[in-house]
Amino acid sequence: MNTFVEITERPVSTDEVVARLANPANGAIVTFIGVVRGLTGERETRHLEYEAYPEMAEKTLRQITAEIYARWPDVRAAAIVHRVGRLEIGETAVVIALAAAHRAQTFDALHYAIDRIKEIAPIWKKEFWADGAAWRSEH
Amino acid sequence: MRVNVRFFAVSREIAGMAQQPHTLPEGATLQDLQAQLFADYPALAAQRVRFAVNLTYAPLTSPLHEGDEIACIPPVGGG
Repeated sequence: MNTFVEITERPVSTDEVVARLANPANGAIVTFIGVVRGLTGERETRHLEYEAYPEMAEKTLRQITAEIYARWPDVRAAAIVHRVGRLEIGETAVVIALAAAHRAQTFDALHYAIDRIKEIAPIWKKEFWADGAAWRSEH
Repeated sequence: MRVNVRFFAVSREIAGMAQQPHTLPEGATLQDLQAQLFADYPALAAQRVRFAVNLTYAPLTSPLHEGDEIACIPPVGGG
């Protein structure tokens, strides 16, 4: 298995994340790109601030890739990069890339990856609006 | 024993700091530390915080040891 995980304060390039998976055995690479949303319903977000417990977050991301390899054995490589710090609307917060010889298992594995990150990775986001701010969680 | 407590996100804002050493009696558990933290920072008790010991989520019954790093983890929301 080829695994790369990173919590970074730098802008995230999807191409660079995908390049981590380069291998002639790959026939399919799927990516999820999470970007900063400026509108939630009627409410306008000005910017977001992401915070992580970096050592544990990277360990958790690695654990999630191990869960994926166990459940979807065709997936042979994974790269997950999550940005922290202040992000503007439209900027990339997270890129997940998974590679396999064939596409069949990659979509379910990708869906699992982002759901699992939101569930257990020690990463937080704070939304800033014109009239306030709040930490956001779906759990 | 001495342990180091790290705070993140809303728990960091409530505590007013990112980390803080705590002294606990030998044999103390995470539950004992939680009680100390909730007494020091009552607003923390209203948050649904979980704890990690040395980078792993841990139940409140976990025994603590000298030098442990404990993280106060409010509801996460990455992605």
